[in-house]
Amino acid sequence: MSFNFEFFDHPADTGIEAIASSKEELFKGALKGMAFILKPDLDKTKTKETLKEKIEVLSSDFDTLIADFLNEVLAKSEINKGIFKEANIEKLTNNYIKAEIFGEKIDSLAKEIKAVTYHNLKIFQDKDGNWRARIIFDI
Amino acid sequence: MKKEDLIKINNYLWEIPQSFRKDMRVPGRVYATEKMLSQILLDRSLEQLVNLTTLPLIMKYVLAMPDIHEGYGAPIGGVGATLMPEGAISPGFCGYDINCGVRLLKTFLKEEEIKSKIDNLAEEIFKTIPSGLGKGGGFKLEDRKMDQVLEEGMVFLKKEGYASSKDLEHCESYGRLEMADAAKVSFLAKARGKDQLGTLGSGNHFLEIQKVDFLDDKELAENLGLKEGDITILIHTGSRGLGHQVATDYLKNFLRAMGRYKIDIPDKELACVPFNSPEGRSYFSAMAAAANFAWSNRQIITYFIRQTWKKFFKTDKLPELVYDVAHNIIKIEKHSFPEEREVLVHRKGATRAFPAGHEELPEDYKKIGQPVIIPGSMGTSSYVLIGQPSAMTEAFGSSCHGSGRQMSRHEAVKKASGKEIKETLKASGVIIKTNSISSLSEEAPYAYKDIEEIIEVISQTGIAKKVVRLKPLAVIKG
Repeated sequence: MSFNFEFFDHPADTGIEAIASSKEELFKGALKGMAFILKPDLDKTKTKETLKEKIEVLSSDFDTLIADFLNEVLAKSEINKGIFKEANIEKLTNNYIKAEIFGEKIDSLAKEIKAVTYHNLKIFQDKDGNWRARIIFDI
Repeated sequence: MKKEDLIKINNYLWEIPQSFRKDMRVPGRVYATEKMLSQILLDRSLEQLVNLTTLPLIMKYVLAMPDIHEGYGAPIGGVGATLMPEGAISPGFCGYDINCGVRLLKTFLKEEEIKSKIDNLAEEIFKTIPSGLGKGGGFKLEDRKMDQVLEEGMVFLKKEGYASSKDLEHCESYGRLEMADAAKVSFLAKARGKDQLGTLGSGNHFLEIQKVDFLDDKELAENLGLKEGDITILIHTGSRGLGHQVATDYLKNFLRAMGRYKIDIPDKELACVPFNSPEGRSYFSAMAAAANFAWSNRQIITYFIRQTWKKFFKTDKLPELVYDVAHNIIKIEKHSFPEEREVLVHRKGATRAFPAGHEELPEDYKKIGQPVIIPGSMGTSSYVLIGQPSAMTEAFGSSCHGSGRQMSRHEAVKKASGKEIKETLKASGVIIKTNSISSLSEEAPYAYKDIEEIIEVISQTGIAKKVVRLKPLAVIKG
């Protein structure tokens, strides 16, 4: 696995910084980070029922694509009463993503996310060549 | 921004001059004491306020209420008006939780009558009203009825027997924005909202059983039907996933549309278009539909509470609505500049506060002014104020909306555990019912500003008059 994520502080909401070796992995890392906000102990709880959905998002640019992708996943999570934590990315361009997302049904969330915001949204490549995305969630 | 960048107008009002940043179209104004201003300057809320002053056709000034804090685009606690019909409409200046708001119910019971039963009563209400956390409610809407809720709000619920005429009268905009159009709400938004009517949600949303513990104005309190020792219920929630999706959908859409209108803004989250553009009108109709959904949500919660009350106390004297106010909303209103103009008032974390005589108020409140309900943070007092004429001349008919966060969630969690918070509140006479004890400390009273100070500023400015203080006895949280 070549992605990771860490939290950063925001006065009212929650932020994560996803770090990955490629753009595809960056989306997977951000997805995992969002799942962690919703339920930090998800990997430790027994899976009730697995979920699988197809997802396709077209955005204005690459920065907003990651927020739009996560917002689409968030909507699917709420409708399915579950959490999606992994993705198989079929196609990723600078403003388009097609993916299959995988998750599981849950009984309760640790936290609700209202939305993934565009505020101070940043995707960049650091000096080591890693891709980084800073994303703020409205809690 | 530094304190020196602001001009002191009086002890409770400061101005950020238009010269502060060259893209400002109007000045910014902040209601605060000098001490509060120092606190406000610690985060980026005033930079965010300045960003709001750059919206096309913004009028007069953009206001920060004393409970302002940093948000994710617009600050929480901001008010601004754009000129109709070409002025900007910005979903980010309303927020994701469209028509998040509060309603206050009076119960006709005194503290001594429920004191021994409060734990059981809170438990019953907790069981009846799903507090979110990914859960839907027991109130499922068929597709056809969803569209009626979206377009008619509480008017539809009255037809279905879930609301009375009095409920409608005692709700901002009578529980319905007429420009709502269900066709402008996406399938995804409707799917998210399908089982969410009558649910609280999590975060800072709550339901509280309280007592009236102090009267600042006995006569006005009597006009609201409130006496010392009366039990009241406060409900704080909004449009749930449906509203979040409406905001998400249109922000994405506006970001692409903005170029067509040659609008340039300093934060993507403030994406906006002219109100009279096809995109602007569509968002306004969808936002209005989400607002109707939020009023319906608070009404169905009220219906559930009344059912519980009837069973629990074996009585037909059921809780009545004092008033219901929105604090995240965009409304078409008339204000004077000084000549009267129609404007689009954006309130993000701010409450409408119309004075006596305003044409939009019901007969009983037209005599005294609109009740402004200001919830405290978990475990602290809430207040009912009454809108005053200064609100119209100075603040686009608006007041503050709550305590305002002063500590990040992360910091708040480090300070005490949820269990400790629960114990501390219990010792001060406040029972907590929650599904998520771990997130309780994120909403701890110390994470919020002092509500007393905020209410004092609002009273001193003459925007609204303090009427009663409400002390919490039991809090139900998501």
